[in-house]
Amino acid sequence: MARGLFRNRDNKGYLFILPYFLAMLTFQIYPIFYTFYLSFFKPLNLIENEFIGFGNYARLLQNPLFYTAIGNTWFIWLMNYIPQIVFALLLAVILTNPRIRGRELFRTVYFLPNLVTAASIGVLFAVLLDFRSGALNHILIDIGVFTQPYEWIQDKMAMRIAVSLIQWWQWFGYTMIIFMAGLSAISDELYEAAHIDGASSIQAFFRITLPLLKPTMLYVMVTSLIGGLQIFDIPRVLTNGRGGPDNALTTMVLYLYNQAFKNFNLGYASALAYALFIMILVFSAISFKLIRTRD
Amino acid sequence: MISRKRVISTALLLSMAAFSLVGCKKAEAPKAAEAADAKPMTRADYTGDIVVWSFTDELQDMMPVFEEAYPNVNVEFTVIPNQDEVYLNKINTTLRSRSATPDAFTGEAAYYKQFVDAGYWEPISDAPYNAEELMSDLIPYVPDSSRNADGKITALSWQATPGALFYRRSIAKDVLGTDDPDTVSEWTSDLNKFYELGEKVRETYGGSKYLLAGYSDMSEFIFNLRDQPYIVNNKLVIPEGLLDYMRIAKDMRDNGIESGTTTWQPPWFSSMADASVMCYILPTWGLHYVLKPNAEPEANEGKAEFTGDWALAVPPASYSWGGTWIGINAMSQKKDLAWQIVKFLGSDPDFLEHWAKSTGDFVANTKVIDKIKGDFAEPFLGGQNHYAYFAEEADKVDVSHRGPWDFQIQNAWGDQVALYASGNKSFDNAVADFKKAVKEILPDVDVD
Amino acid sequence: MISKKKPAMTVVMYAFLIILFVISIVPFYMMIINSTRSNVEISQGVYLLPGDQLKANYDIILKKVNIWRGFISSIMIALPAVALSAFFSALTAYGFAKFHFRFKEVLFWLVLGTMMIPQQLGLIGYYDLCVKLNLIDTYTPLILPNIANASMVFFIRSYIESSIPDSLIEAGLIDGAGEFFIFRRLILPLAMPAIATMSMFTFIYKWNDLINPLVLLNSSEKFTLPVVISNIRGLYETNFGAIYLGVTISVVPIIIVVVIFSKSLIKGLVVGAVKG
Repeated sequence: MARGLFRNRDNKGYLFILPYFLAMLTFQIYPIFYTFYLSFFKPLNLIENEFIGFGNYARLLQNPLFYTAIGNTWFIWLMNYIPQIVFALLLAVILTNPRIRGRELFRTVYFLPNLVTAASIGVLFAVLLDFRSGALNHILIDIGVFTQPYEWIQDKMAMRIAVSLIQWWQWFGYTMIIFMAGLSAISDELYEAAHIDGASSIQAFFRITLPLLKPTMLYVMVTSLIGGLQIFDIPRVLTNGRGGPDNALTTMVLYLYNQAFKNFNLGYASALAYALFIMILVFSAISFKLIRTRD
Repeated sequence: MISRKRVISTALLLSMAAFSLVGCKKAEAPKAAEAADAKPMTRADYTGDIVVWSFTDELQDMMPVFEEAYPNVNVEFTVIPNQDEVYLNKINTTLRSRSATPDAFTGEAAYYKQFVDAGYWEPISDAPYNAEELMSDLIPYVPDSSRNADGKITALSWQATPGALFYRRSIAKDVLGTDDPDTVSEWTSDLNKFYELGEKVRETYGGSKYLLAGYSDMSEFIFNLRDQPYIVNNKLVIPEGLLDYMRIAKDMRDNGIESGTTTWQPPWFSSMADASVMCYILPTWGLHYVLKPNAEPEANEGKAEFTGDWALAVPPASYSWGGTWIGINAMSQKKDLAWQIVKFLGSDPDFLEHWAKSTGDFVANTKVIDKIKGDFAEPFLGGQNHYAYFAEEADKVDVSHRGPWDFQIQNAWGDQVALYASGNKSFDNAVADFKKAVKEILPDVDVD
Repeated sequence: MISKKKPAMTVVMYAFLIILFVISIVPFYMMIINSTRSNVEISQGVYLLPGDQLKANYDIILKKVNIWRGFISSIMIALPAVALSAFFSALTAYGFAKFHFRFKEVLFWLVLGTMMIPQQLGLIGYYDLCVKLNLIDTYTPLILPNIANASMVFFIRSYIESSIPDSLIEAGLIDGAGEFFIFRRLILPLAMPAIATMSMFTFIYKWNDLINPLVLLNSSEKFTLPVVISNIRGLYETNFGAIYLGVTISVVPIIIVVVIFSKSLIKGLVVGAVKG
């Protein structure tokens, strides 16, 4: 029987993916279903729950804050992923060029922001943005832009932009390294051939690099959706965990997190988790459709 | 097949019965002996290992004292700070699965009522614990506020946390012409006069010094100013004091009476050292653990003398802020040992006297307080006796209106106060948005 | 791509690289510098020069926690976790990239789907599972699940699809090589840039993970570095300086991994050039 199955070489692929699926079934499936199960309950206290069917989902869909959180998440995502991908791609191309001096150093240093802890970013920004003693207000008053201090942490747009900026800064080096690994898959011969044909480096970039980088692009796009739409630690540290001012920084996962761990409502948080899951799934599928890997 | 199976199971049953007989005998033996001799167990009789978890590192210094008193008990103690709610996360995840570990664990003012409601802690009012018998020695509000729906005590605490107000003597002299605590208290003990004092501070220094670091420093005594819980009959009640707080916060911000920072933010800490702020409204622990190390760090580490530039005055209202309770895990297998540690930390006079003298912390045992309160002269406060003051304040603490969701509700109010005070929202919108925020916390509560 | 003939372009490009260099390194440097500053100093302002509190901060750490034991615990978890991730992800990615079996797309989306559920809540169910499997307070639940690393599979699959031609594998099969031999001797080396990149990220993720070890481990002597560092924080004093020193200690191995990787990526690039 087994022999018959594996007479077709392609079916041997099952053997290669088998250990993965065994580990997944053992360790990952139960928690995922447990979360789903929880989404049908409402807490009575920290231990006891009450079954309420789709009540959490109904509450979610009728709650304006849910849509605010979706809006905030997408706003922050768009504001940082577009510049992030542009910078990462540009740097990856520049830093794989052997003629650039200090490539290794640049590459390592660009990755460092990824290692700065969220907590220390929180402390840094609290010191910078404070109303009267903050460095930013001092500078702006000294150079005459403001006549009196401005309360940055109560400004919705300024705070959203600050989060996007920090996210960009933390992740452009990371994405750059991914692109560099992707570039390493492209053969140099193609560039040499293009060069002989008289193509400029700009032409080579659009005709060779970009098309051949499609699989990496797809990876970056989909993992950015998965990771980026789950953003929560920077909004959390900048707002003392509250997502303020006026929920302007309440992203979907921060909302979920506060419901689960501050309001102790695991059921509602689980419903949020599944709403987010569906959103990420749909947009990942769209990304796959848009960036086809096999033409 | 069937007969063999039956044989095996019979054998199993027999051996199990034999086992349990032996077990019973072993368990009963000491009890019988005890009854015969009528001799209570001494501390050395308690033997074993117990696991204690806490979000505060204070217990790290308490455990050696306990282990000395109970030479045959070994405490496996773990600190898990609640930064980013990790302690709560760990406690909840562990206790939801009905784990027997830890044997005892602590809870903070912000969420211990949740622990009580969930039944995480073993009720200890009745035998074999009889915590009610300890009540006569303790500041009543401390054990009382841990009572569950059946009226049973579930946890004790080594500390009571009444509040005070601390001010810089040098600023008081400049503003009022005196640094005498009684005169200053006349200005600080009434909210309207307190605001007036703020205006005097601003005028004296031309706006370079402030009465408060931030209006949010007032929130704890404001939150204590109420005569009913926030939720009554499943309906939200907004105390008048909260509305006043919102108005006064904006006045303070607009008129430069507070410096514009927020409690617990880095600039709040740094303002303690740079002498730009006159008053901090802090409780017992705030003096030793917050104000001293940040206002005069060198002296606090023993590298210099305290300047004595600080003093204690009466705040606009009595309050209690914070506090840590410790209780027995209701699922623990070693409740007798866990009770010993809860009782020791929460009532033992020798331990509490030692603790009060070595840390300056205000303890929950009235006998100990009466014994030692005469001797305190705090050099940081220019020789003032803060202990005698706190002993009086502790009697005034009324936390009977505390509920499990107060922390979340008060945070939601604080968020709206910040938006109103900074001019980003109208008063009515702020109140309306607070109601929406409460709906997020308690979806079934009627907020209108 | 950069022409030698355009000096203006070169200047602009280096200016761009150097500006990014500065904004990347300054906050990181400040985080490190803070490990030589006191609690009070850190809450007062921003520093660019080292202070004199390094020893004092180290003493606070030693007094409160056993940081080096945490260091060892972290290594004992992170290294096997990365090794399992690297090997099994490459195996799985190869299976998905170069074999065309039934339900392949569905199975692959199952893999991706596991990444799309926010992790924060999964831990509650995972704890439950570990209780049932009797794995609480052991390293197993922090190591073994790394056999299934969805993000790594996804990346290596893309890499293998785009860089390893089918003809190479067919040639191996014609020579009579076994499937596993082909994987080990052909695919693993050729996919190394992708495996190394993802291994580095997995290492950093495992190294910095706070909440999973914190919830799944009970004994303090098993705690990992991030858990130990978070324990430096007192209830009343934040001990900022000591925490930053802890962070600095924990960042050193990551820097080493990044630098080693940076070199291996260059070798990978060279391999790529030769094989092409």
